[in-house]
Amino acid sequence: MKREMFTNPQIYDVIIVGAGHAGCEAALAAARMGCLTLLLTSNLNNIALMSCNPAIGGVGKGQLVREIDALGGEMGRAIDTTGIQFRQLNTRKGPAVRSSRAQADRKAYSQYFRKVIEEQPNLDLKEGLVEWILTKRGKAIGVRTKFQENFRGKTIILCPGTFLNGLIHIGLQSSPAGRMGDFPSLGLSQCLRRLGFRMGRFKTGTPPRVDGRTVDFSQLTEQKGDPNPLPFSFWTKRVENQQISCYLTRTTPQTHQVIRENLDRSPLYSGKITSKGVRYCPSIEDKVVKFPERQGHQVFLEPEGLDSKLIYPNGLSTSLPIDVQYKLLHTVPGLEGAKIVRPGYGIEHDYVDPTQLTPSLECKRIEGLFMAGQINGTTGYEEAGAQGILAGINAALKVRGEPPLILDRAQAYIGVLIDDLVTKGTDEPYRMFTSRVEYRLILREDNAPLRLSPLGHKVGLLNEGRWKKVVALKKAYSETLKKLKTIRLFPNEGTNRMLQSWGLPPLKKATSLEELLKKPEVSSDHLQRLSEELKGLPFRLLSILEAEVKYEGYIHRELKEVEEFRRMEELRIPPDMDFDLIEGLSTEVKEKLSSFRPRSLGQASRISGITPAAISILMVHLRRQR
Amino acid sequence: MGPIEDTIAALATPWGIGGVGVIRISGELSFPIADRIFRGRIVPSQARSHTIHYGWVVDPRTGEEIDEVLLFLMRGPSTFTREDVVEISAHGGPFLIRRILKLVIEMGARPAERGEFTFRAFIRGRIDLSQAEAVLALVEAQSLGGQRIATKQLKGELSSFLGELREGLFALLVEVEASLDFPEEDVGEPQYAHRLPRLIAQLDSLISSYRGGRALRKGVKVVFIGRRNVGKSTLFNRLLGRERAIVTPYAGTTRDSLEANIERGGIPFCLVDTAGLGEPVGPVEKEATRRTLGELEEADLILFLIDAAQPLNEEDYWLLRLTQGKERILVRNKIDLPSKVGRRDLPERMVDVSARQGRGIEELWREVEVKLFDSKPLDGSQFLLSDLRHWRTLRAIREDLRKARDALARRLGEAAAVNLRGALKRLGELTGEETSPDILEGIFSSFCIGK
Repeated sequence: MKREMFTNPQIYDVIIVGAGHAGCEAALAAARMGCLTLLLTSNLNNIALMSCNPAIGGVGKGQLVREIDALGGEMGRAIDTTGIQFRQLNTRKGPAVRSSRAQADRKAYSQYFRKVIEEQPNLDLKEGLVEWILTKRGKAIGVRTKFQENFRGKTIILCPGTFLNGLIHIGLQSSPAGRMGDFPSLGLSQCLRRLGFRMGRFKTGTPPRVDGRTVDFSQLTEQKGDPNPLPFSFWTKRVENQQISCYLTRTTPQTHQVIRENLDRSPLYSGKITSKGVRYCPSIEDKVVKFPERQGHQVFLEPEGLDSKLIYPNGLSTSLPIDVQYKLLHTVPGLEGAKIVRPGYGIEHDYVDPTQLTPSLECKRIEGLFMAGQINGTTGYEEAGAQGILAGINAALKVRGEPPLILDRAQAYIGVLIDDLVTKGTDEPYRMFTSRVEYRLILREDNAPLRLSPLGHKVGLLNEGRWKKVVALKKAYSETLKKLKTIRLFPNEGTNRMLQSWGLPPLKKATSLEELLKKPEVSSDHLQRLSEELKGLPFRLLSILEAEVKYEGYIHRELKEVEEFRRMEELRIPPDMDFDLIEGLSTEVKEKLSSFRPRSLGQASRISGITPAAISILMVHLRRQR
Repeated sequence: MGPIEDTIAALATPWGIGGVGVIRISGELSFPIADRIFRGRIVPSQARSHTIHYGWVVDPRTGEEIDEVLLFLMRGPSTFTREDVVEISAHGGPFLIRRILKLVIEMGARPAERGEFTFRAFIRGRIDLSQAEAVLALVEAQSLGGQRIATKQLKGELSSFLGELREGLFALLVEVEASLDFPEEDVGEPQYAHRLPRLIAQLDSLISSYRGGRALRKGVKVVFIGRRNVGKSTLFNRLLGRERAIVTPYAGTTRDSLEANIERGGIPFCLVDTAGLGEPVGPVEKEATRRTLGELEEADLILFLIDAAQPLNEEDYWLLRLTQGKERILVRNKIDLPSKVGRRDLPERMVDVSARQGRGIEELWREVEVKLFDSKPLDGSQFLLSDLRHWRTLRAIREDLRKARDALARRLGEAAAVNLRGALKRLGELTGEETSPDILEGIFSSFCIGK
């Protein structure tokens, strides 16, 4: 029987498959750069849905959000508009690890994105579950949905998230699903395998959602947000939303007892799930088994929204059967009478080994096919959004015939994220951490617009209005720095009294504001009160200055290391280099390099199994070729 | 270094007086070259690996027999460079050895650059960087003691100390990073922080052994100074145990610096006698004074002689000032004569000797060892840091650790992490190993993370 098929007459510049956190950023970036863009989702009601915890940011992730924002992305403004509790983390440990985090109103966040996307010129939003990628002579030319609708495109960006061959587990029961309540994409995974991609399988999970009316908050520790919420986006003036609290509780030895008694009914421990899970977001059963000596584990009770009664018990991710979920919840203080609204579950999904991608997130195997988000083995909305925006930019640049935008490890957290993925691959779901970043003193939240907005503007993503504000920031920055160097305070009585009232040592000689700010106890706040000239300067500007001045020595050292790093990155390996002809390399190394095709000596040095000795030989060889 | 694909050859033993020399050839062509120039009972490329053969080196173009040799055949990778290696042990004297080397090069090898065999061993992963440096030290080592240190380093004693240091720092870094990346978790304050002072102390002692280590390798320069006729040459001869310098009762007999080598306790010493210092009377004395001052600059240790039988004069005081802050020993000579110089006349302890009678010589040697090696025994049996690069890097690491300690005291985790990472990176540079161990791996194996 002949199948009925419909081919859409339109030829799009960019087609994005999946409207999650990666897909939305990709679609907006491509459309804003002037490409005729199609965003395909399997469910129009679930745009940019937070399938797991209702929060954006955190250590390392906050930096990613600021970078997406600085390039011209949407995530920062979305959370600023819909956030219901903002907190700065690590405020006292140093400027580079200072990170922003916010609880989101889950529904409002999704609606925000839906609205922005619907209003975006050049962007079509359509419902359709993509099952097949159409290719011609090694190039992607379009996609086909489950119901035989074809869409033609010059470039395709795949962002299917957990939908890629998704399988949900609760206890020993399982069911194919993209997430609870959504269809999985089974055909797409099959298609990718047929196209020759190496695939793997990861596992993640989510806790049961609890009815807030059945939680006794009276005995729990309240965790308030910051009194003056600091927005994520450089262009957000202030956070307008009402702010609410989270609550902190702990599991008890009884909880652990319940879990231990029921491990045989856990898909993780009965051998049903064998794929690799997220180490830093483990299920509660994992924590109990791996750290048996612990008497309790933290649980954060996070509200799901301003007009929602749902509570997200962060820390209780589980795939145990529903009766066990009830039993274990009831052993946790405050949750003794809790009712489950939606059970927790584990989900397995396929991912594509990301070393098959170039640093522009395009597949080495199929031209014009890009991938972003969980399909590349990551976890987290911010990680997805970061890849999404870069994939969107690079697809648009490809359509224009321009070279791709590649951020390196010394430019952005996004650069580290993508370089790690495409160079090292990942054998567990990848999450961003500051400790993955070599040059984190120069890659701070506060200076993201200075670092990345020029690039966002250059590719045409960041509009003129926003760009002007960055130019103004740059100007104010250099002017204020000059002031800090030239304005000197004298050791008079008034000044010294003020210093002493803050517990600071009095001045002995004339001191510039810059010298003063270098002292660990002095903040830019203090300076503003000491000098008229600094009054009224925006917090954003002051925090950049404070970091740059206080950490000048370290930053200088880091910049030197960056120079060294860039030298290795700039030693380009010709794309047609025949590694087999290089003597001294072991067969294993030759095979690795030939299949990988690193673009620079720097990238080669980060591939696992490539020894420093092999790099020396390669360097000798490259020099000789020149 | 030249291309790593080339076959290289060099004399593996020092050019010099002895009749035997070993020519080492390393690389792909070493066996084919041996086939062409060796005449014996076997054909080298068909012989078993790691065997020795007697025969002749013959110039294949003329058929001329050049020298009678032993041929050592070693197939890679079980060789020093991991390449095919052939060694020709010849004994025909320097002239013939040069001719053999020339022949080998004409047959297709390239003269090896200095240290190139070791470089290849490093490149092929046979040895790490600190071992590579030890090999160079071994080649350079001038004495028994020096050789012992070099061997220890070669076996990886420095490497193993550095390994321990690295482990300690890494454990601490993991804790610090965990507290930075997971502020909301039950991670707690770094437990390993209290280890830092001990690690710093270990570095201190290692760094302070540097001078001793260098002495073992390069020899110690001991310079004798003092005004004229104080008995420098007599003491010089006494320490040498032979009449090297001319000694007369006349002041100013020594007109020029005079060097002599002696080994003691496995340590090479270079003793330098100098012209006495005093009011220059003519051009010769002027030049002698200039040379003496030059020797002072290079001295590891100064023996400053004072005449016990004469009261201290201006020249003595001038020399005292001149050598202030340098490593010196005050030696009161001529104690067989009535003393006119009291202990209180000088700022530091003196060693009493009578160079003429040979009294106090052992005490003087002991003092020399104390000064130079901090009273540690000098047999090279303990770990001594002997390389300038190591010394510099370890000092930089110590500085990093001090900063990390201070940052931790103020709970500035970020600054602590920067310095710990810096220290680990430098350590990696020392050993040439991979410098970025998996911090996250460390965190997840130590902490229960995950809200």
